[in-house]
Amino acid sequence: MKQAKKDDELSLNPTWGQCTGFGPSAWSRRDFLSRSCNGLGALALAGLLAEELGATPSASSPLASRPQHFPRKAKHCIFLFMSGGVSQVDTFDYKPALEKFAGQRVPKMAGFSGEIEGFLSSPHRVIPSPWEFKRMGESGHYVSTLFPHLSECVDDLAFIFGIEVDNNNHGPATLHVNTGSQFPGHPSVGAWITYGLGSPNQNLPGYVVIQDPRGAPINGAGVRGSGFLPASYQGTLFRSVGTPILELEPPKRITRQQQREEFDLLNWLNRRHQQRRPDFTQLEARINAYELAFRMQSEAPEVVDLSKESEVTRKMYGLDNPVTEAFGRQCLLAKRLIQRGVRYSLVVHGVENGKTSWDDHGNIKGRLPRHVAEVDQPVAALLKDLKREGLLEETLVVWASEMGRTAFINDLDSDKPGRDHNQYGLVMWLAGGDVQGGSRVGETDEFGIGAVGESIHMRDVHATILDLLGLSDERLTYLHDGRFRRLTDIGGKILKEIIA
Amino acid sequence: MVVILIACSTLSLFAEREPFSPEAIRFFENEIRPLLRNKCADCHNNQLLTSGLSVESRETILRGGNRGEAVSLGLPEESRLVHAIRRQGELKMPPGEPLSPPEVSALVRWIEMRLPWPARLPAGNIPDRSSMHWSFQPIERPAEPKVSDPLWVRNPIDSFILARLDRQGLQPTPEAEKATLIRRVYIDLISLLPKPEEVEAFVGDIRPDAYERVVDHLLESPHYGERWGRHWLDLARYADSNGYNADGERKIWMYRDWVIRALNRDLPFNQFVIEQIAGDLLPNATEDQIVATGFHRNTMLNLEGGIDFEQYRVEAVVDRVNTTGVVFLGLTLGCARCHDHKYDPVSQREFYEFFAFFNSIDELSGEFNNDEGRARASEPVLEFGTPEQYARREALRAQLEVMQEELKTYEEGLLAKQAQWEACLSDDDLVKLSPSQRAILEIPTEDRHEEQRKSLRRGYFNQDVGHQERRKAVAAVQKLEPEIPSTLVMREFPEPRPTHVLLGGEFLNKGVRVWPGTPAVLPELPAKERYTRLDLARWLVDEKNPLTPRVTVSRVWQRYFGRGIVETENDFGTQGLPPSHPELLDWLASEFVSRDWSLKAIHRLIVTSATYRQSSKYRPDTAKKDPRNRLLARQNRLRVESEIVRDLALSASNMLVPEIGGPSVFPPQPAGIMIRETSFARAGESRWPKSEGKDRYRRGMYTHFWRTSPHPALMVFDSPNSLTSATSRNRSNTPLQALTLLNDAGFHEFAQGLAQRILRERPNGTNSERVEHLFRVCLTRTAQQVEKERLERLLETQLDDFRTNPSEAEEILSLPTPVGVDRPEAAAWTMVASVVLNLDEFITRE
Repeated sequence: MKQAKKDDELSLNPTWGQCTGFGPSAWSRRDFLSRSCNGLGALALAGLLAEELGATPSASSPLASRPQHFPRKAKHCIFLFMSGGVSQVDTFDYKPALEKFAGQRVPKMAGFSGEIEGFLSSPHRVIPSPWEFKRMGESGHYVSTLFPHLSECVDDLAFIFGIEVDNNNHGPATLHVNTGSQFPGHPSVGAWITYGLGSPNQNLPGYVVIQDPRGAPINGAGVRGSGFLPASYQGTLFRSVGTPILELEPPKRITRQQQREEFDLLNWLNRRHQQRRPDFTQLEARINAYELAFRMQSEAPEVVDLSKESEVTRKMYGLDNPVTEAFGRQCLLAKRLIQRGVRYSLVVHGVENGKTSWDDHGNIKGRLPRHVAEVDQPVAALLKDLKREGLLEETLVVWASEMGRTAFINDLDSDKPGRDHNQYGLVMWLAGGDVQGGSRVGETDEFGIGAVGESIHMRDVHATILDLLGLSDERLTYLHDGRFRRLTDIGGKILKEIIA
Repeated sequence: MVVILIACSTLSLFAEREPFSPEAIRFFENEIRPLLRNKCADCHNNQLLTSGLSVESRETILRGGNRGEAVSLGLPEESRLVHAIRRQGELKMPPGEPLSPPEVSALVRWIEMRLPWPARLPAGNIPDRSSMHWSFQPIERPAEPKVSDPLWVRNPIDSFILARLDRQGLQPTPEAEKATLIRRVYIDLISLLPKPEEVEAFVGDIRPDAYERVVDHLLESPHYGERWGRHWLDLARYADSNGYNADGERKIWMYRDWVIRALNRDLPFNQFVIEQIAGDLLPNATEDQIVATGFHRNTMLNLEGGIDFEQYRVEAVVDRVNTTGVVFLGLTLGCARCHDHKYDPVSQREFYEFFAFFNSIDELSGEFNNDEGRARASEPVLEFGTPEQYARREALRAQLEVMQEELKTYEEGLLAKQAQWEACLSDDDLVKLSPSQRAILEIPTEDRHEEQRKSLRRGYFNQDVGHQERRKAVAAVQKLEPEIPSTLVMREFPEPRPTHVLLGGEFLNKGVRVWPGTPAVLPELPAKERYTRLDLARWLVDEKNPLTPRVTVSRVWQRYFGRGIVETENDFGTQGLPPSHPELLDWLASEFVSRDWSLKAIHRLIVTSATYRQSSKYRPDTAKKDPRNRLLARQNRLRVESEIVRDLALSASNMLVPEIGGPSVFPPQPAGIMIRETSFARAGESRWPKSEGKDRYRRGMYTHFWRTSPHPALMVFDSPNSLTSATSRNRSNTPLQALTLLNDAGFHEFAQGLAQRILRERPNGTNSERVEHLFRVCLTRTAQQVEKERLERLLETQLDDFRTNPSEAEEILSLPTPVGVDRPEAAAWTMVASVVLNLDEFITRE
């Protein structure tokens, strides 16, 4: 092997870049710079450098709160995910033309590939929305009358129409919306955000996932994973009833006092061990972790205990009604987590498939009202409650699903028609923080199939979500497999139209 | 080294020379050459080869780029180049300012003239800087350097380490205490705790080779293969399920067991690699060698409805390229999937040449986008049935065929009567049809389209009692098929599947056709007509290939010291960090090869070195001069991996069932995981058939690994997700880890077991003696007086509690205690044992 390097090339000092004099660290810095110029090892070094200058989280306190890249009002995010593919033309994307074409084929359209192209070239018929749409609020957005509650908040919402996702099937599309890639193994949006910002409350996980009590969305843990980021950034599942966190409670009948004694002794022994090993941050981190665990044991059950909420609040979220109770609990819990400083909550409605999923292939007229009824009041309550407490200013609320649906079906005979998958027509809305309430961006054709004009890709939405939390998509990177990875992979455009 | 772009075989296609007139050559020199140099060659040169195209010579232009041909000789209108410069299609060149009309006309004319180019002009041949990169250079065995303290040196490793420390003015740290050392080497080589009597024997053994004897004993232990096998399985992305949303179960544990056995018998690493990459292609391949090819069947498999299997097959092949690149070559080949590698000398075309090696496996592909494909989704597999099982399956299949034939005949008979059936449907019959089927009845037979015909036929057949019975009978016979043990393996198509560059990495966007090959920057494959996976396998471990041994020894080193000699263990390319000890790396790599690729020899060298045997204790001087301890003036402390956290607890409690291999097991996990935390609510807990008896207490590496919902105790301690190859693990510290160790039902059982062990082994001991024993078992050290006092105090308060409320003790003890053990005492000791199992010192290798 060539003796390609001088001794000094192996940098031993972790404080590169902070040096002021001509000591060994000055050498290292110069060395680093020269190396980055000729490209040798620049990536790896830059990764190490960032880590050791504290630009990225440290191993000993990975969730310590970190500043935004640039100032934005929103410090927290609640991501509402409707599992199964919400029909845009029955909810927020009003398409009067469907009436005119009822029962007919969609006129020839170009620009679609894959399954949608197949759907369009086979016999099919347009199904108008069974629901009336009304202009709401000062902004005058059309909203389906299925949403009596949410339509009251329409002036706080910014709609994004005609979003394209990378795949027309639930599994990959759900991963795409939740992790930026249709393939498993990538960090979820919440993981990126807690990696970027840490979390203000160390007694609770920084990234909490509140699932539908009936089960998980498609891909299970994949939608909340940390992918190639460290495990500290994976979503922690919070059950909205009972013990909120796995393994939170001691085995049967070990009292809190007993466990405290265990903790105390443990810490004492660990500290003694540490005295002789003062330079091991990992040991310090472990001691911290046990302290956090103990505090989490008292704080987490308190968060899920909704019994102290006022009757008014409980009613507002629909906890008094069996239809809205479950999602009402999920939304109220999300708000309580935000109040306590948790950075990110993923709130999921719907199970993989079956009748609790928004995957309404058949009988849309019967099924969709049931899904909407479960979420309409709780989501509106969440927005109003956050606003009332001044929290909407600092909380970005996102409504998403993995795809839109078709305004037509191929089954010519069905007497209870539904709608098929449509990866080009997803509608989402954002609220809170610097979101311009009442604004909109993107537009779909008169059948709501896909974008007209410049298309909006999911990565653009991801870049916008990061931006609204004060994070730059270009700076929020992690060195993995030889390159700096980011949520949007190849970068997305910020949807300025919906930012105040 | 010069990057030689064009494989000889391709060159010969264009070797024919055309005679060009002097005027034509002049035209080229005056009009064309400056144009190519100024407007094209910045990107399309032999080094950058953007989009696979170089304009440095007539040959490279004729060879074309990733999209295919660039120029049709004499036919400008059909030339992609002309379309691009006229900006007529998707491709618009050059980017930015378009060429001027005279420039366009000149190029058109040049193509009409069949690309005149002067003969014998050197074509580039500028040495490529990146190929000078250290890791691509041949391994030269360095001489052992002179050191300040030759007495410290136990083997050449130490000379290299000490020479570097000398330059930095640092001294190494003395050897760790014997008790620490034995715990360390047990954890590193077999990951079980030494028994107190083994520690005692070693501490009392004053023979000079006492330590080497322990090492040899451990290298012969069958648990060595488990420990190091698990490291290998990280690289192999081993899992017991297919991944993606459906995440069905797969049987490939025989591959896992093959790895364990291969390491235990110290199969030379070159053979270890060849069998895993291409064991199936070896002449007279044994079953064992075919099982080894499970390595590249650990790719994920998507069986979701409505997808194109081809897309996911391509993903699997890409994963094989990436994994081969990172595991053996330490290169991030994956970066060249969509475009030429931005940093390393690997072009997109070369990526797909590599891809071609793995593109001809007879596995689920786009040709089977239907239920037939789904039915044979695991193929190819190797089966290990008994002759009786095969015979029974044959018989059943033959029977099925007859039955299905009969069913078909019966259906034909029914169809003949369909009109009659339709004519006299009763109301009862009508109700049994779906509304849409009823609607079809209204349509005249000849107007029904195919879907409608099928739908109604289904309704008709479903009502027929004879049809129902026959279908039931078929299903019953299908269920009888014996479950034959099998494992996923590789099988090559007789004729290779054609491989194309995939533009933008997209599976439908096919570019130019390519053939199997390796990146030009690395040593050449021996000349041959057509290369197979076996050629690739042999090339990976060819003595001329410097990367495989370097990468392998650096990774072994990494497991012992926390970081590899090359710290960027997944990137030995130009963006990786240079080695901390380049001469040591090459010495070890050459030693590895010259010792017939024996991994055990390398392990023995490292663990018997003075470097490895140093204490890990804190030193203010090194903390200042080398805070990250890259120079190894002492050992590093390392938190053990997720599986090993479990193994150490099992080993401390003496509950371990040390059986090696076999199907994966299902130790308890918190209730509701499968129902509430995965998308398998319908399958429910049947996906976690909790193991009882001995399978409850197997090592962590045997825990069944569902890719979408792995056991939480594994994931909380940073197990890799097994979706792609993992070359290192995180060592995070989170509150959830604390909660798992404290409260998980499994660990609570181990604490009970440990308590019982202490009481059993010290039946008449005082509390102080028992605490002492507890420390010796778990930490291989004596307890200090203050430590004893605190633990005894905890014990006494707990004991008081449990004696006052014996029912509380019963609540805490989920396991029966042996006769004669006092239940409150067992409960109190469980609390104490739990404290020790939670200590940082317990789950750390000092």
